[in-house]
Amino acid sequence: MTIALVFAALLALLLSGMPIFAALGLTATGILLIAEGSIASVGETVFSHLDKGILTTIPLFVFMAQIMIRAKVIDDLYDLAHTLVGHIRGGLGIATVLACTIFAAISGSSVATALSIGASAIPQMKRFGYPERDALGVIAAGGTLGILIPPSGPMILYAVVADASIGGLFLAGIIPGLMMALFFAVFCIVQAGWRQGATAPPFAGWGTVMRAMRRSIWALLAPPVVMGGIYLGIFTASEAAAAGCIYALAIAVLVYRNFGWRQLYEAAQATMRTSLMVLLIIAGAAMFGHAITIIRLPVGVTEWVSHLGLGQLGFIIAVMALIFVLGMFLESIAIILITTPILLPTMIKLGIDPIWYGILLMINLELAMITPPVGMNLFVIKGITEAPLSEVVKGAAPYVAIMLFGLAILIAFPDIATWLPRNSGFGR
Amino acid sequence: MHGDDGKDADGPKITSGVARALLAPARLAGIAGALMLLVILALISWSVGARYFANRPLPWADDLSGMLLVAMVGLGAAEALRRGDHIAIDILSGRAHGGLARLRDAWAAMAVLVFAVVLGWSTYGQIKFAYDFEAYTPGEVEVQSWIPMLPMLLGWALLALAALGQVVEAFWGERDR
Repeated sequence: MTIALVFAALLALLLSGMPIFAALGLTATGILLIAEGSIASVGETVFSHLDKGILTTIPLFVFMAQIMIRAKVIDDLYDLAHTLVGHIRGGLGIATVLACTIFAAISGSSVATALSIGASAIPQMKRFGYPERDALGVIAAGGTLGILIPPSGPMILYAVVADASIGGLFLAGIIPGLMMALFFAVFCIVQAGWRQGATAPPFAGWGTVMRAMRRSIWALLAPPVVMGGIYLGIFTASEAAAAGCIYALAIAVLVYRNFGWRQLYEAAQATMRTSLMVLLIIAGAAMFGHAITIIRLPVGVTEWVSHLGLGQLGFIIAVMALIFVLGMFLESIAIILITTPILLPTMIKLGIDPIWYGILLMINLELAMITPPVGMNLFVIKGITEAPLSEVVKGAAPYVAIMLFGLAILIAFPDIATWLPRNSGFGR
Repeated sequence: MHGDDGKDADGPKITSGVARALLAPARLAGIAGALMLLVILALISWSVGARYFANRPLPWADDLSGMLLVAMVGLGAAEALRRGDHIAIDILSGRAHGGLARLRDAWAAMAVLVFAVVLGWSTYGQIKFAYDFEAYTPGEVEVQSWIPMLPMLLGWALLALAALGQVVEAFWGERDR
């Protein structure tokens, strides 16, 4: 009953159109006033949640991507992918998936990936008669790889809330991310077989491939610099993000030579605002988490699930179904911050590996990006192409099925996610 | 989600003079917030450099970067609100037009105002408590614990002002709907 009331109140406030952070904060304020008659502790709660060095990772990864986008380092990535695979059947779609996969290893954001790669890919796809709906779908879906392939902003958030290893989560995302990219690419080939009339550019020759490789080498080296630093134990996650920023600044200034003080300030402004969007939701979620802990809601959920006797698999399937539905209406950051504190005690009691769950959650959040009515990537693609939203939704629909298939595989074979971190010494 | 409709490059157009005055501090604080990001980057880079090149690790860098992040949040929260960056779910409210849209905007701004006042009041209480009892922060950066909380209090105050500005604009601004 209490659970239903709390979520009904939160949902009503969210649907009323107020910012998510305010809806979380006001729900928490209401709970605390009713349960304790005092809200004196919320300031300290929010401060202690934000006063964490590890959270600097979020703005710093955003900053690295902002620098690379503004210096146009990213533009060369699509050229390379296009030159490499554009000539094969479904090649333009595969090139888009490939470029998204590489950029996902730089940006940490689905929206940034869809936006940046979409801007380069769409003109090429139009030029060679790639069906509009298919093009919209592959960009929307390819963009979602941004949160599964490390570094990933949502993964960092989940790691902070669940007290899981960021390095472990990043490693766990690599194989599922590549698997999902492979599924997307195979679907592009299958889809190309269904249609008639679309042309593909001829193979540009190895000389052109090598020239494209030389141009994009700086972008290609960014993921090894960042991720390699973490896995070799040279950097912590926040230091790796800072190293990524310095690397991006160095190539923007020294190689591309199109980045001055003005661009630096603009990138910092954009980063600060994007990060604030996330950090204020963390503030609201901190209040909400504190309030539901006071009324022992997570404990109640754990006891309730125990009575149901679901077991690991039943619990995971039920939670994934719930998050899939939530993902249609809620933003991914809010989903992580609302559901994780509630579900974590139950997960621990059932012996569920938080890293495995984190990867399942990320795939579900990828789905949330392309499922209407609230799918951020759908809006982004609509924004950059001016295509009707219904076309973007229809284009992305097959990828929803592919991702659900991928999610089912990950549920059935947890080792796909956990093998790499386990064998690299990254535990929980 | 709220899109970019009705916004220019510098955020939504504000027509009320009172609203503009209330939102002006947000813009200034936003500049400082962006610079704070660069300070965080410089601090972490310095820390890495000191560890590997000077063999002198800075054990306090992580704690200090957390405090600076809090300062960035305090300085930037109102600017993000002014620019309309915060995410809201508008699958129902996004369909409102005319007077209903004004009411929706006023409602959203008032919610932020209450949020900021609640946090501002609570943070002030914590600061006063920490000041009176001369409490110190745990960890590597040992300072009186009210000091790192100050930017947060400033942030909630700025957020409240900016939200008030948006309430004024919602009711008295001239906007095409």
